[in-house]
Amino acid sequence: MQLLFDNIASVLVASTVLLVVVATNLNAQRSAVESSVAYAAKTQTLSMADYLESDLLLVGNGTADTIQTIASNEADQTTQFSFWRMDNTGSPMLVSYLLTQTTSIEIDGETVQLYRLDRTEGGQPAGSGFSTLSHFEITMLAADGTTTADVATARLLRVRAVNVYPFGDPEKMNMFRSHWGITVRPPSLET
Amino acid sequence: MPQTLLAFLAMMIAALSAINQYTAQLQSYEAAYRSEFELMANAVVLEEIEIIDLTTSYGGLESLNGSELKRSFEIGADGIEFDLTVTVTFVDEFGTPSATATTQKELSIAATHPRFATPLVTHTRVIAQ
Repeated sequence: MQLLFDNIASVLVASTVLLVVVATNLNAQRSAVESSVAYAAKTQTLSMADYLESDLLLVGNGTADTIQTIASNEADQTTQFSFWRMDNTGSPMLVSYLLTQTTSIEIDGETVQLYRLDRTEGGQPAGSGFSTLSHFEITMLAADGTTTADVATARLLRVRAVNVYPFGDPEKMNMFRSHWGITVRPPSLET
Repeated sequence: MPQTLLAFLAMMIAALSAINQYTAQLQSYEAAYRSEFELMANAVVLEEIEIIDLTTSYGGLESLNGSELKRSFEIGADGIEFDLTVTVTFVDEFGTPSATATTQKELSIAATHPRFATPLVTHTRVIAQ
């Protein structure tokens, strides 16, 4: 103890340096985790984006009918979007995107409701299955960009989605929100 | 005296290292933030190109040159507004801008946001007569 008091200035300097180094290291680790999480969230979102974009462009492809059902919940989220397209054998096939409420997570006092997006072909599960969406919305637009509820006047389909990627301890959770949107122009909606 | 200098040097190195790390972290946040805005701007610009393509005749495209629009990326009740600048130029068969009239025009829309100094995205579409 006497030795420490004799060299109090050195002890203070060494402690300060040690604290700064430790804090910097911890911060660097956290930053690396956050970057990885952001990358993972973005990759997952873009994977869904590729899928949706190519699928929606085929609305009404080779079939007489196009969009069959578009249903929303109170939060303006699309809970069901069903459309016809031709399958590999040349027969009409009904493809549906169904949004199902799953769990909710609490982050900094804010409750975030999560949803799962399932895709079915002829009523059977087929592809997709994204389960960390906090928002999903498909809107029909007329040629001038205004929203329309009438399939006959719809020319564009606008999609908006938010993918939430929670990370960290349950007591101190953080999340990364990945936003994505696109507007597609299915050729079959123009005829 | 040498001990004091060494102590000062150690503190300087630790402080510089911390500043360096925080700067890198800020840049990382900024990149992630911009990336989110770019995806949103991308959606808004592509939608505007489709709407112009659907509603504007080939002859009427030139009247849009230089026009500035405000369009929002909306999620439920929230939205982020972007400033869009439309450019229309004649291009030749190779897509090179032409000073004289040709049979195709290039519609270009750039999206900016006050938060960022440079355009977030720019999309172009060549529309033939």
